[in-house]
Amino acid sequence: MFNWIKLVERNMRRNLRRTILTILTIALSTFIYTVLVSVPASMDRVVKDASGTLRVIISNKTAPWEDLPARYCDDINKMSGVAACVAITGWFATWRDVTEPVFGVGAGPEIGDVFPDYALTGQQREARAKEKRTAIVGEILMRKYGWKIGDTVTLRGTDSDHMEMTFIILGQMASKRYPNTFLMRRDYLMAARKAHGLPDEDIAWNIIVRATSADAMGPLAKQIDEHFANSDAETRTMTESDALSSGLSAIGNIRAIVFALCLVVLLTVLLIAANSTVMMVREQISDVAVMRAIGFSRTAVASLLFGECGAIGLIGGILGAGAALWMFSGGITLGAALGGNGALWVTPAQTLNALIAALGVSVVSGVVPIFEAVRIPPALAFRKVV
Amino acid sequence: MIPIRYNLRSLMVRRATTVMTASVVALVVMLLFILSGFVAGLRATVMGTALTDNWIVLSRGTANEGGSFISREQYEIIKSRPQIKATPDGQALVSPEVITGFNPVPDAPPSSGIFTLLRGVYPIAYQVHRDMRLESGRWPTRGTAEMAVGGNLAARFHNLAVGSDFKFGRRTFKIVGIFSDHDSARESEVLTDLDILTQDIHVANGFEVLHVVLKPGTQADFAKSLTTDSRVKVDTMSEQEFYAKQTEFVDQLRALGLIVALILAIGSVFGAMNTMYSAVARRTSEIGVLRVLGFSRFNVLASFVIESIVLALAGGVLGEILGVLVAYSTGLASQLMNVGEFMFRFRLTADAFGSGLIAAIAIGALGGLLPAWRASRIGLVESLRSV
Repeated sequence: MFNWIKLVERNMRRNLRRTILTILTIALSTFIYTVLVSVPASMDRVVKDASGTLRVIISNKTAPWEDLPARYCDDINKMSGVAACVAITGWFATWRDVTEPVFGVGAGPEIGDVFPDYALTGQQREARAKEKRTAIVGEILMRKYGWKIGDTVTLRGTDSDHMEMTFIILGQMASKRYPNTFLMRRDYLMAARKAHGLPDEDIAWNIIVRATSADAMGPLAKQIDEHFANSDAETRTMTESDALSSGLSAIGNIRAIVFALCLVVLLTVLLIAANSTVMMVREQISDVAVMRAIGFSRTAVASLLFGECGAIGLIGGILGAGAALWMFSGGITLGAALGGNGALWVTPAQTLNALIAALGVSVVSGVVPIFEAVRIPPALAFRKVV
Repeated sequence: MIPIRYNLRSLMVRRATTVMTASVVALVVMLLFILSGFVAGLRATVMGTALTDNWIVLSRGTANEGGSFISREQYEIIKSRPQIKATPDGQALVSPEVITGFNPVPDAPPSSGIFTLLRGVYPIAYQVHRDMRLESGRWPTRGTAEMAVGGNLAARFHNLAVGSDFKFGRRTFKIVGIFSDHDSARESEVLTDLDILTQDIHVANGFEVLHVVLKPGTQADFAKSLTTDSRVKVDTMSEQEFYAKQTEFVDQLRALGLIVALILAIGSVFGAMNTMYSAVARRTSEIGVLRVLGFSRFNVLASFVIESIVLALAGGVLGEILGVLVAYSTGLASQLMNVGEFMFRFRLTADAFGSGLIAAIAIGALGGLLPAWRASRIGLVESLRSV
């Protein structure tokens, strides 16, 4: 085994430049492949995480971006199966310039009961109650803008008149599920809107309810929609994972595009690796003849050549997939597309998937040239050499 | 110069590597080609919505129609501007509008939902957006729950045919017409009566946007009159400028696609390098003979670079043929796709063909340069020794 590894390594060093170029090509393609396969995986992760919660999202039945009266929570809190209810009003803003977007989520103190996964501490709840300008920020957003706890930041709305609001960063959201969230007090937002001359209405973008149990979610959704039927703002209630699925599908058919791109990347790696193998085999045809002449079996010779292909694929794969893991394991923001919930993460599972793909494609690329090489009778191979 | 025939024959001698290297370039070019067609289709759809002399008025600081609010008082003030064109019967060509989200298949499962726009208008809108044409049926009557559906939307969702009923908000609308608008983004929308729509959505005593037709040459005066009038707090710009801003998201999509293509292109440069280094190594003796015949180092360098470019160019042409085949065989060129609320078709443009070939030439030149340099630096004695 040791000799086999040594021979493979020597063969790889024979034309070091070609080996390095092939490894680099495979590394680049594997990097892209790893990131691409992470896109649908990250989307699935957001939806899957949401499926474990006991929350239902209530939106306006007419269209999800129409408002709802925030007072609906008063009626909902009286219904059976309700653990907590919160009205959410969003605010699109930017920090220093338009390239630094922030999606603010305005909510009352009930938010901690509806979102226990926010893991707000007692101290944070108290501080929120005392100071209206407080904000609790997701991990990626904090890192992206270099904010620290205690910082004062002024955001500028992207809506009419670019309303400005100042916040004090109270803490970083403990949960990694909400990496882009900028949680602020809803009453502060509504007061700022009023001061800016916007209509003084207690409106919410969504109302979010936590049910007492998973079994209560279905009947509760039905009960809410029936209760507000024929009202000024009829409701449509969905589980959190359904609401997120709906938002994702509205963006477009991302999965099909990603799948097509992955296919192109894999074909590219296959062709580049096959081209390299053809050149490698052609150069080593004399060695193959000598080895066959001195008694090496076809299998032994083929295993050496496959070993070289596999080693190149493995090194390229480790470099490419490793770089993707290193760069994106902490996640990068997907913007406001998922309402501040989502991010693109490259996980060890996707890295392994890409590594296996790179290794597999490299080995497969060698099948035709290697089998052709080992099938040439030694005498004929010598003639080719001479 | 070394005849190009020599390079072509050399490429034919090592067919396997030639085909594989060209195929790698072909895949990169195909990717670029499809990306260009995708972006061109989306951009044309959005930009096709703009009309010359049409301007848009939004509340101050707002970048899109949905976030804007213009009160009825402001509308009346703006409507009286002398720069605005009028119909023969003296009506100002100002179309106040409100928009909201529209799910063409409300009962579809959440994972396959799609949203487009429902636009509330008055009949004047059909004269302001003067490229809109009725394909069948009629326009909605004022004050009734009726809808006219854009051609692209109706083509994709058969439940939106003329004569169908559609439940939206608290009422049932009758679909009374299908309209076209040069395949623009408006064909992804649904039009209905403004007053009926505002009963269902949250726009109090006003509108979200005004579309106006200006008299030629009065644009600057119109813009100035609105910025200096303290009674109105609005921004105005030409529809072309507005829709050009709306295509910024197309540029973002394009940039993402280009990053993938660029990384693959770097990979294919390495692939081309490999092939050309191998070609140089195999032809050391030939290089010696060429030098003895009197060809200069530069001639050798140029010859290998040209060979690499020819190889990549062949890949480029193959990539474009593949791109066209993929576009037509998968229905990309005929089916409607959607990104956000826009429905559009893949569009083959001269740019897509041109950029694909330029990319192929660049890959060939970059991939061939270092091996060609190496070839031109091989000493005469060294090369002849290998003969």
